[in-house]
Amino acid sequence: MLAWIALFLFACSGGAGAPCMDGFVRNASGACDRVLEDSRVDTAVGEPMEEEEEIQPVPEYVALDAARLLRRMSLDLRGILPSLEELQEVQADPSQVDALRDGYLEHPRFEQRLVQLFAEQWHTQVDEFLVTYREYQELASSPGSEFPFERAVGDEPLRLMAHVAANNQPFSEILTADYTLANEVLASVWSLDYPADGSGWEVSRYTDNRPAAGVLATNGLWWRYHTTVSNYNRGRVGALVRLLVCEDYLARPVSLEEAELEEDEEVEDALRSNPYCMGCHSSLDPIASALFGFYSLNEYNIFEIDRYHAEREPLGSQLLETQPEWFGVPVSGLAELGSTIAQDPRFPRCVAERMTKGLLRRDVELDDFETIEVLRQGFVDSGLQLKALMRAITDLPAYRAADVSGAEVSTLHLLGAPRLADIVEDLTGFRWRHWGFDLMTSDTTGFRVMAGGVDGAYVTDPQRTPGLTWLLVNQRLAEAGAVSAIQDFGSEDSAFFADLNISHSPGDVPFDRALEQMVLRLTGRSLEQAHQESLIGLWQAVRQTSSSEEAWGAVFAALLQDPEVLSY
Amino acid sequence: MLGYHSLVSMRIAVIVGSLLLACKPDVQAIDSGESPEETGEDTSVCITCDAPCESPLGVTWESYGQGFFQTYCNACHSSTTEARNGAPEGVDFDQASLAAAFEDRIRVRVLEEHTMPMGGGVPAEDLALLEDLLVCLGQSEHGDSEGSNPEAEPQWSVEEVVEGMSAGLVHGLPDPYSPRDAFLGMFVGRDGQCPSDSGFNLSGSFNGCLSSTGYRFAGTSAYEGPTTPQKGPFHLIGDFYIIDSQDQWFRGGGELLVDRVTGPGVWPKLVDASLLGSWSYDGDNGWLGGSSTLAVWIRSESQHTSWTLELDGSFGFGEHYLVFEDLLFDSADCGGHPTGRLGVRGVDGSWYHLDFGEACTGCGEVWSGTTALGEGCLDIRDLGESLYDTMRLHH
Repeated sequence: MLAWIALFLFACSGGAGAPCMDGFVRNASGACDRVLEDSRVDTAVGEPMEEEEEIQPVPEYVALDAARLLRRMSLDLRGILPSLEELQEVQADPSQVDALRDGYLEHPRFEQRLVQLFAEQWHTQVDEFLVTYREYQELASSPGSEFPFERAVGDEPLRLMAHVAANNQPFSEILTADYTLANEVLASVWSLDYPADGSGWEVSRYTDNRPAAGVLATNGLWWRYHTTVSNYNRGRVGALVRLLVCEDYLARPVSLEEAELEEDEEVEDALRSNPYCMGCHSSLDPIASALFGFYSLNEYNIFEIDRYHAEREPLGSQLLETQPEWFGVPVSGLAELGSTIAQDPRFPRCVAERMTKGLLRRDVELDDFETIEVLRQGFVDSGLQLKALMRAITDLPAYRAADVSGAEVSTLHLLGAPRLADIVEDLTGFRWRHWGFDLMTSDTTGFRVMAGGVDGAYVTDPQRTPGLTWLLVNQRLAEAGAVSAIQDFGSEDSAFFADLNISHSPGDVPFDRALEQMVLRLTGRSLEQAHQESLIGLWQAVRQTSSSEEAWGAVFAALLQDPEVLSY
Repeated sequence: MLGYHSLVSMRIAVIVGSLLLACKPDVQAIDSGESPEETGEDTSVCITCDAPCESPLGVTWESYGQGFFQTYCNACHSSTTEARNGAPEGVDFDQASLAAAFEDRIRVRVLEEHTMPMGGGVPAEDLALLEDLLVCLGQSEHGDSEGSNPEAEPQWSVEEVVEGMSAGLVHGLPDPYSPRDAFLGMFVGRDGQCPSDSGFNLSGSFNGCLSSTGYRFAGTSAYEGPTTPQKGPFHLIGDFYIIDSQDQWFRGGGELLVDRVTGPGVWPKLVDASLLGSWSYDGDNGWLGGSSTLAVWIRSESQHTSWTLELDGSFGFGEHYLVFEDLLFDSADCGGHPTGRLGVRGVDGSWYHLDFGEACTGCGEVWSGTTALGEGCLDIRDLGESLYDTMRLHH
């Protein structure tokens, strides 16, 4: 596929936009190049080091053309394709890319797109929690409530984070907010002051006296990362530390076999005295001690897990025999835990890492250390504005690259669930649903994982390369989308076929223009002759046995499965 | 921290190692708690470098070092922690200047001997970055930051603290029989089919069943013990709700247990009880009617002429939240007054404690964190004795 894509590469046409952030300069193609300091010189003696040849070469990026870059930005920041007009605008004037990108950051779809980006790494959009909708009288009699309930629970912390970012609040507010985001489903079953005239996701507050701690005070987060009576929130700490400061206790090379517990030694005692246990538990347990307002004594019971148990806050220090602390900094409780994490220098760095991973669609590596540091500094300098961070990431040469030499990293990204569903819905109005389930964003009866998505439980990273089930799901989605697309064939409301009627055929101006515009809209590329001929050949082959609308439907469905469409 | 490749890290280690040989003085013992100043060793000057110090990766305190020490060290080696776990006083790394003072010992213990952190646990990638950090840590200027949270100003007076505690205990101390008896009482509403079990076990049906008497039974329960409201050992585990014919809910989620610890004729007579979870009944006029949630452990002890009652755990009654810390009522030694501590959550979310101490007067110091607010008094002798009477079993 790479070779096929390469045939369509144009020379870089990015323009001069806003100034790059500190540590970067804008190059001739419009991308921001990192200012590289020559770290290969031994500052002690001023001579090149002997190991110079072992240093990896600096990656050289081949930039995307303006239209494909705009397409990438639109998909990353809005989850849908750019409009035809936007694509034509940057084809005529590539310098408009940055201005359009800035517009995407203010687009109504930006907040929803952030929910998707966060979901890939926070893993709260699971299909099952320890309780089901049937345990609530308000929902039990409506089987169609299952998916809306599950997704609303998992979305809660993601919506809160997206709301903070989209509304230009310091991102640290995700740890200090005295509100959450809730919709009608959550409002019907939880103690929330959801507005009486509200609809959809609204700022709401719990009425059970839980502290102001942003996502740390959401049911959605702790339903996903639940604890058992005997685990005392420790598993939750592992998730919290990983999500917020990018530290992973489970990745530490500790050999528990060397712990050599005495035969009659209680595990709880060992956690506080055995060096192999204390390596992690000396910091882990004090954090767990701050989470006991969410400690449930029956994790399957709605009365236990719906509600914040303020009276249990002091239990942590009793049961874990340690006062609440965040890595050596005493905290008085959950609210102070949130504000202390927000002050932790690892937090903005972790946000920079996570957003870079989300937008570059690859893991962050050692070679990215300096880049991440520059992004972190810019993020901090911006007052923790997530939009500023995302703007800076989309300025990176690595982000704007069509290809790269000198580094083994991917510059071509795969489209999968849930964005494919959003794209098809945006283009055709079709959404794949069954019994209340959105099939492209769920797995119990849907195809999210099959289509390259993340279920948050078993699949924790988006699919990065094409696969068989991904292809099959895309095929069915494209066919269904095409059927929907041709339903308004010839009407002025039609996205692709407004100027066509059934008598138009290849060579007619409306026909040729519709084909050109369809290809540009879906791929971000101008239609080339060979491609045009193959598409017309398909249209004619279908037209021999079917209607003109169906022939167009076949072309549209084929294009939706084109590697140029399914990658960006 | 990052998902780094170990091969790359090894390469860096080679590079950094060569720099270290050129720049760094020898090391000294960290275990003794002696600072470099105390031993007269100068670690603040790079003895062979004239140019400003630069490390191969450019790792700095701000970009990585502070996070490293927070992650792996500061839980014990912090000037603010209350749980040093044996870390020598003064050997702290929560400020750059503090860490720089011990960089040589850090190198030995972490990079060479791998004896710190305890049990190991630092991935090779982070070791490589630490090595890079230590190249220049001693020669860099750092702005040390504040690492601790100031204690909040108390929002409640002593009187308000005592009032808050009294409000939470207005219906007495929680006992295991109130929810058990209310639970058994709900089964007056059963008919031949609903619930299907002839005992007191619910089947686990989410929607439950609606009996001909207008009671709805939903969820799961398992009960062992007397089938009439009488005192004695019992065990109830539940994840259920029962709605009576007056549309009053009984909510059960958790576990109730009464256990006779000592056998008949054995003195002292010990009875343990635990009340765990959410237990409430809208139709109850006592503490059970207050949307109550509990994690309470009780032990009662009967002697021939005296008794004790000990409570630990927490109790939420409506919007009143209490915690019992070694609360011990002793009829002989303390005239029924408690020792130990009683805590209450203030409206601002902070906790206040009345430390009854050993005075046996019902009075003690009231604390907000580490701030003493003055003496407060709360006479709960009757509550303790009443709960003891409820707990006492005839052996």
